[in-house]
Amino acid sequence: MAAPARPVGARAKTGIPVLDERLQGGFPRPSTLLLFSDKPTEKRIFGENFAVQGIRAGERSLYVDFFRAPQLARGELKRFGSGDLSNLVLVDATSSQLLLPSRERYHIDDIGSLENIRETVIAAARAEKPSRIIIDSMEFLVDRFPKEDVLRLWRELIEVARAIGAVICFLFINWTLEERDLQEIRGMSDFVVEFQSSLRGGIVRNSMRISQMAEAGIKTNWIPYTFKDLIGLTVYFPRILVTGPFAAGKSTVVKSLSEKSISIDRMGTTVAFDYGNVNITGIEAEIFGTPGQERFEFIFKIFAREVSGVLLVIDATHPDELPRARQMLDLVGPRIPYVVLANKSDLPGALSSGDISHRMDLPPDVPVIPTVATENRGVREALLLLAEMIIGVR
Amino acid sequence: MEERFPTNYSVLLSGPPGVGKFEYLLSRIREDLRLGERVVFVTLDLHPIEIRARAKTLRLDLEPYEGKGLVFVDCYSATSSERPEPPPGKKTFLVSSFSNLEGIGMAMGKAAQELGTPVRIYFYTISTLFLHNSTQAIAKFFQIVTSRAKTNLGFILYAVQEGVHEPLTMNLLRSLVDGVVEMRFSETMQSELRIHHMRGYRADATWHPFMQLPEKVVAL
Amino acid sequence: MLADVGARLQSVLAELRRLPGILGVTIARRDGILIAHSLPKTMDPKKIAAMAAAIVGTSEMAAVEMGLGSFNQSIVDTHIGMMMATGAGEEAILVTMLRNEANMGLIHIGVDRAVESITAILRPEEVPA
Repeated sequence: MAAPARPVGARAKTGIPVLDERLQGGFPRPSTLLLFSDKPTEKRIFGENFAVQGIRAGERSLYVDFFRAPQLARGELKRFGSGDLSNLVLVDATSSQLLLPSRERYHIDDIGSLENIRETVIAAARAEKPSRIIIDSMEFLVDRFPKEDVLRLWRELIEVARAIGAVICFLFINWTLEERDLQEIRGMSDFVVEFQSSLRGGIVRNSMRISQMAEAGIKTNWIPYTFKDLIGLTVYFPRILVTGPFAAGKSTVVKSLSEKSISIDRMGTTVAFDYGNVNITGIEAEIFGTPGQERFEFIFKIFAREVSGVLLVIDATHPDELPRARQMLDLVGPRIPYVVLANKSDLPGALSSGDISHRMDLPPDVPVIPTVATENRGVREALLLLAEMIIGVR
Repeated sequence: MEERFPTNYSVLLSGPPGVGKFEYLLSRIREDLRLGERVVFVTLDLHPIEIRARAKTLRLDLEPYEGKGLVFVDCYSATSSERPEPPPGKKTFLVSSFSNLEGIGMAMGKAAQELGTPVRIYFYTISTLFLHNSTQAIAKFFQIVTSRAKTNLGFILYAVQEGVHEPLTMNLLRSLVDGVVEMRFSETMQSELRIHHMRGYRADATWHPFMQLPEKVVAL
Repeated sequence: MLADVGARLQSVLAELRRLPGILGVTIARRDGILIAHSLPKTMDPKKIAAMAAAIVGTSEMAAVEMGLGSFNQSIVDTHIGMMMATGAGEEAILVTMLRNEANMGLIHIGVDRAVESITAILRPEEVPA
C-alpha cells in the first residue's frame, strides 16, 4: 500500500489556532506527546481531534483504540465533520474481545498478549507510515501487564514513531502508577498536555494546558475548551466582560465582535447588559457588556463571576474618566487579565496609548490598544490579545 | 423502613446473586422519581431495554421519566454483539467498554449535567468491572468517582455481588463509602436486608425480611 | 409647568400608597433615573429605580426573545409579597411593592389608574399653534 504524500510543512497542526501559533505551527516531526490526567477528563477528544486534523491536512493517521469497536470509533469521529476518513487506519483491539471477526486490516487477536499487541501496532506503523499515531489509551496496558514490560513497549513505540518521522500521541489516565514512574514517562515525552474536567454549578468545564514543552520550556495556563459539532475543539471562554465608563463605547464593542448580539438599553444608555457570542479563529467566547453608569453597579454582582478576562473600554478623548475606569476594574476583582481599549481614537484630542497607560499608572505588561469600535478597528486584535494573555502564551 | 438516604452520601449495597439487589434499587428509584428527584442509572449488567421491562413487571414505568428525571449510562450494550437502537427521544450515555474507566466516570458526570444536579446515581454492578480491570485501578476509580459524586453530583449507591470478591477487596470498597446495606438469604431462602452502618447516623442493624411484591418492594 | 409635574406625580403616588397592603411606590425613568417616589426610609429610592429599569428592560427583551408577545409587567414574587413594575408611558416605569395580603383586585385597579395618570402627566405638552 503506497504511503500518502509527505505532509506539507514541518509541523503537525492541532487545529486550535492559538495553540498552533504558540507551537510555531504545530508539533514538530517527529515528537512524542503525552495527554495526561489523573482524574476522568475529556482528553480523548484532543486525541481524536489530532487524528482528524492530520487527515484534513492530507496526512495518514493511525489510531490504536483499546476501548471502541472500529465501527463505533469511525461513527464517533464523524462528529468532527463529514470529510473522507479513508486515511484513518484503525488498529482493532476489540473485535477479538467480543469474539467477532475483524474487518480491519490490523487487528489484535490476543488482547492478553502484550507481544501480540506490540507486533500488531508496530507492523501497522511500519506498513502504513502514518504521520500521526494515537494510542488510546495506555492505562489499558498499564493495568494488565507488568509495568516494566509496558514501559519497554512505550519506549519502543516512541522509537518506531521517530524512525518514520511521525508524531506519536499517548493518552494516559493514571490509576496505579507512582510519581517516579510518571516522572519517567514525562521524561520520555517531548510534550505533556494535561487535562482537567470540573463540574461547577452543574456545568462541566474542560480545560487543558501544555505543562511541558521540548523547546523553550514555556508552558501555558489552563485553556478552557469545548467541542463544537462538525468543527472540533475550540478554545472557549465562558465570560469575557466588557466594561468601562459611561459612553466609552462598550455596547459598540460587543456589537462589533459578535455576529448577533443583544443590548438592553434605554434612552441611549445600557440599563442592564449587552450580550454577544464571539467566534473568531478557533476561539469562542461569551461577551457581556456592563452599563457604565454608577447606578447600575449592582449588575457586576450578577455578571462579574467566572470572568475569564476583561476588555476595559475608555473614551480616549475623555481623560477625566480614567479614574472611573480604574474603579470599574476593581468591581470585577483582582488578578483577572485585562486589555485596555482606547476607543474613539480617531477623534481629535484622543490620547495616545502611552499617555493613557501613564495616566492610569498601568503595569507595563497591560496592553493599551487604540480602537474605533464604530468602524470595527482594533477590536478583534484586542480580543485576540486578551485570549493570548488568558491562555498564557503572551 | 423506607427511609431516604441523604444527599452527598455514598452507599454500598452487597448481596449474593439473585437476592434482590436489582429490585431493591428499583424500589429506591421508584421513590426518588415519585419525589421528583433526578436519577442516573449506570448499568453494566443489564441492557436498558431489559431494565425497562423488569421495572414494568414491578409496575414501574420508566419511559415517561427518561430524559427528564432519569437517564441511563449504558456500559452494557456496546459489549453485547447486537446493538439495538435506543428508543428515539431518550438520552442515553453509551460507554464503549468495561475497561474504559475514564469513560464511565465522564459519562456519569455528563449524565448528571444533562439532568441537572443534584442527582441520585445507582451503579449496577461494580463487580463487573473486576472482570476487566485490575483491583488497583478500580479502587482508584472508585475513590475518585465516589468523591466526585458526593461533592458535586449528589448521592451514589453501588451494588456489588457478595461471594465473588476477595475479602480484602470487599473491605476496601466498604471503607470507601459512607454507608453499607447488606442483603442475604435466610435459612428458609427468604431475602433479608439490613443496614450495616451509616456514617453519621444511627442505624438499626437488625435483619429484616425483604419481600418483592409486584406492586412495591417492602420490608415486613 | 415642571414644578407642577413633580407635585402632580407625588399626589398620584400618595393616592396609590393609600391602598392597604402597599409598601412603597416609585416612578423611574426607563434608563434607571429616579423621577419620584413614596418609599419608607429604609429603602434607597435611587437603587430601586435603577434595578427596576434593569428588570423591566431585561423582561421586555426576554418577552420578545421568547416569542411571548407584548410585555405587560414584571413581577418579582417573594416571601413577603411582590414587586410589580409596568411601563407608564414611553419614558417611565411605575414600580409598586406590596404585601401578599393585599387585595389584588383593588391593587390592579389602583395601578392601572396611576399608570394612566402618570402617562398623561409626563406626556410632552402640545404647544398650541
